[in-house]
Amino acid sequence: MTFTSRLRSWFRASIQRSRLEHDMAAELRDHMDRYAEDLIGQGIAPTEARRRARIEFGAVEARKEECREALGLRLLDELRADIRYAFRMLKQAPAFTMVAIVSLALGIGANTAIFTMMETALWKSIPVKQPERLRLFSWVSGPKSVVDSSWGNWSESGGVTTSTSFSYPVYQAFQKQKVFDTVFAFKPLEHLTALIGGQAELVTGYLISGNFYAGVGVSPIAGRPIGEADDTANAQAVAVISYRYWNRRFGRDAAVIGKQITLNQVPVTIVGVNPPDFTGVQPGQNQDFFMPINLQPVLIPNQYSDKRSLLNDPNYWWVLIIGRLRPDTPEAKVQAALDVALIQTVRATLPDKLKNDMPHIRLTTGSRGLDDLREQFGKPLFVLVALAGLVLLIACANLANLLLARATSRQREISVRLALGAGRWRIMRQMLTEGLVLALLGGLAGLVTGYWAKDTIPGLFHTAWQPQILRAEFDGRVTWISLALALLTGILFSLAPAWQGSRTEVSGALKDGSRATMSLPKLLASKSLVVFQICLSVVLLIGAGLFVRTLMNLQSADLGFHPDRIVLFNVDPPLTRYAEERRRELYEQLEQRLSVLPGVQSSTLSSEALISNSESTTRVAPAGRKPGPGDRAWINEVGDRFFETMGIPILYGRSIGAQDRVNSPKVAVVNQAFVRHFFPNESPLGKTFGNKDTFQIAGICGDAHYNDTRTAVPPTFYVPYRQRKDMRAMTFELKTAASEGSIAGAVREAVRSIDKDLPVFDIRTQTQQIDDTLSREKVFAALTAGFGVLALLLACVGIYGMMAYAVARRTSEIGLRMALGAHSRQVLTMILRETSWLAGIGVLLGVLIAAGITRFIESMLFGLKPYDPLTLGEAVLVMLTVALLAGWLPARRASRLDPMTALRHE
Amino acid sequence: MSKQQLELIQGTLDMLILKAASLGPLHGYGILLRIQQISRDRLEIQQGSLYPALYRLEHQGFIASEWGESENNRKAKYYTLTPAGRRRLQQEARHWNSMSEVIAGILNTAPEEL
Repeated sequence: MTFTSRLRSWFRASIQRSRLEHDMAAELRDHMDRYAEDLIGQGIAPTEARRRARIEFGAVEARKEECREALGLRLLDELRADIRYAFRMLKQAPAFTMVAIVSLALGIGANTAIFTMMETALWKSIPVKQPERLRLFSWVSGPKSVVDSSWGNWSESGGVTTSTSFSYPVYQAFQKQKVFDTVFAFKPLEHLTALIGGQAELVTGYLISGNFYAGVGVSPIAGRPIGEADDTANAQAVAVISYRYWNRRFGRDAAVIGKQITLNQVPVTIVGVNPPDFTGVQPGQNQDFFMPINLQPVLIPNQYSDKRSLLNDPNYWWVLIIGRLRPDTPEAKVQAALDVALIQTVRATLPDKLKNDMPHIRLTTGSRGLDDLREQFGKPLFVLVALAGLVLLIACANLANLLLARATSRQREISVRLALGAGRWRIMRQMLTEGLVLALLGGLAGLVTGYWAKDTIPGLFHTAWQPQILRAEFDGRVTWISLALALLTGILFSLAPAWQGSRTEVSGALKDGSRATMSLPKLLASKSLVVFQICLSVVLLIGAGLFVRTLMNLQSADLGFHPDRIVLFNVDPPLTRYAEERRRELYEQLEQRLSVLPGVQSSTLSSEALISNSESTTRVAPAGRKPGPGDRAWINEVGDRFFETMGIPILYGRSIGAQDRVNSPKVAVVNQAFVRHFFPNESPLGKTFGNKDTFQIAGICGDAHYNDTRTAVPPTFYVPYRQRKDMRAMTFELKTAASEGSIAGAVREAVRSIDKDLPVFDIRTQTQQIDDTLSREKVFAALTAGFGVLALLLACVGIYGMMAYAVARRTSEIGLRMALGAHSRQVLTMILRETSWLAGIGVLLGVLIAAGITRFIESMLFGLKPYDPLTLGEAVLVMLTVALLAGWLPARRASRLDPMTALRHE
Repeated sequence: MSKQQLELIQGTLDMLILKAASLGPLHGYGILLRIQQISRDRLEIQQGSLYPALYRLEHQGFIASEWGESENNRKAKYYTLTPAGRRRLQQEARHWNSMSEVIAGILNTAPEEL
């Protein structure tokens, strides 16, 4: 009760301060007037009466101060005075202020830039209503799961299978459980061919259940959402488009509502436009079209299943499900109900799988929808923020050192204040305030730096030939975290000087005046800070060295093929137009047309582009035995001249060529790793292997990396695409004589001449393709190198500042030594030796710390160990050199002192 | 003022102010006069020390203040007791009474009573 009244009174007093002061003065004056009047009434002369009134009242200003204190205003007043004083002090030392603010700006800015990325990749919810109530469905089961075919995330580790994909019948069973507000289904589609106004292009989309919009709680800004009525078997095909697509493709034309377009040959009517911030339910993605899931059989007929429709197929698991929790139903109950429904449906729809491991429901947070970013960026960002934190710590140590030096030179001022009656806590508070003011200024500068640098990291991760969708988010949360970090930094770096200031002796410093002695603890504190800086810098340098070498190793790794002058592009002919036979004909036509393009030396196609982090594997074994658990092989379906175009040598036998017709015996070319695994002790040529299909080995090629450069070349076999039943989307490879820029137009023209509605996409060079898989390594190399340079710079400033200060304080001692016969070289060595000692200890500690922590990044390295001696040696050498250089300038100044001037110095 | 004044025991000024204000709204000077009047001028109160006490009591919510007209059109700040202040006064008075009883009891103890 009195607490709230105190608070209210305090706020009133702080806000209406001038009125309070005015009232207070009036009230006290009134009191004295009345007393004086009473005295006059008693017969005392007016002047005497007023004099006595004043005397008996006492010191008016002191009383006012007591009144203010009673209102709790004193702290506020002192804080205001401290802040004003802090600003005055900063203005008096502009060089110090600049160094401090710039180093803080860089330290905080580096962290802020990473926070913006963390916001995007880890923290920010998807833009839906009450995202915290959403739950993403997934299932877990033992190794022998009931699912044969699936499309989506799938992980098997430690005998546990996990996936977020469900069959549509299972989804329908979940919907009948009334434990959720809504349970909605969706499926992202990567490659849809849109035909709008005679122009074909590749777009992305979602298949969504009819209750999707109700589930996410989003309404279109134009037109209407997709509803339950749209999501039925015979409904007219409709779509809602994203704001981005509306803007890009239709120039935000309102007439787009009701417009009919063609998607994968299916006429679709646009009925709505999503709000700008609603980009779907996957962070970092921005799908163009949202369509009812009932369109699946016509839009993306399933070629792998006997039935075109997946909607009544219990074998094929592909749908993603999110539920919106009811506020009144506990999650455990929800989970139990879903578990029952799942197992019942599996038993009813997959009667032949009753002996398999039954799946169980796992509900995970759905506030970030289907989140691939967290897995992709979680660990890298953690490492980066740790490194950025180190940079900030170094900046912090720097500032602490500078402030410590200043506190010593301010000892006289502090002594005066103490002598005048200031408390030690009061002095400490003022020093802290000064630090915090500096920290806030640095924090603001850091925010600006971070904002300016926020696109750097997404830019480094950006795939060269695709529009950039991943954006760093600079929002309130990032701002507050950065400012909080700045304040924490401020407290950290002003602790030492505040402590130092509060321990100043009143008499000592006053007596000594300018001849303030160097106290041993002070020197120790400042030296330890420099050692600390050097140590952290070494850690950063070692980290930077490891990541830079990793990138270099990856870039110079032997690929097993020649990536130069190869241009890649993709086509994904819609199954609605190109099924089976027609697909093969299309590919053959394209293969032929492209091979005669001017400037093309050789052309081919494959189901997987090399080094694209994409793979398809299958279990095979030599004919006559069943594939065991380890018998996995990587498969690539390729065209004629694949080996020639990519520069993969054929070591034995023959390549794949025109003689491999559709109906001729099925052949394969295998690599050496394949031979080593499946035919270790025999000649494999002419042998057959396989599982369901069998292939005869026609040739053996050299080992070429398949999906990445990091892992060892896997056992791989190549088969003629023509002999495959279910041909997939293809990547074409062209070996060109000229640059890839000129070929792009010719490629589009050539494809258009065969089918004008078939979009060509992802035109890139093989080198770009390889670089793209190294984006994480590039980001790490670039950022850690940047941080390393920053750390070096800061450490440099720290060492220089410390040594310059030490030399300045020892001027008379050095003068004395020289007067007594010391050579300038001896003085130089003396000062440099001190620097070397500090640097040596710092480097040693740094190497020890690095040895302890680099094993955490071992999995991110390639081609070297975390304790790589070369990298360690380089880091140590660079640090020592820089430290000696930074110490050289003050040392030289000391060695050139004129003894006479130095002795008269004080 | 009379020469036979007692110095105020520390911490009792607040209680006296609350008591004075409980008898009706008063400005600061009025509170001083009333205390002196009731005590028949036997207490010595530093005039200036009244105000920090008034501000503190108001800050704690035991009294409330308002500017108003006094005699011959002069403005003055009037203090009144709040309900919280009334409770506080009762509590302090009780405490004071029992305390003085105990102390008086101790002081009046004759050696033979032990």
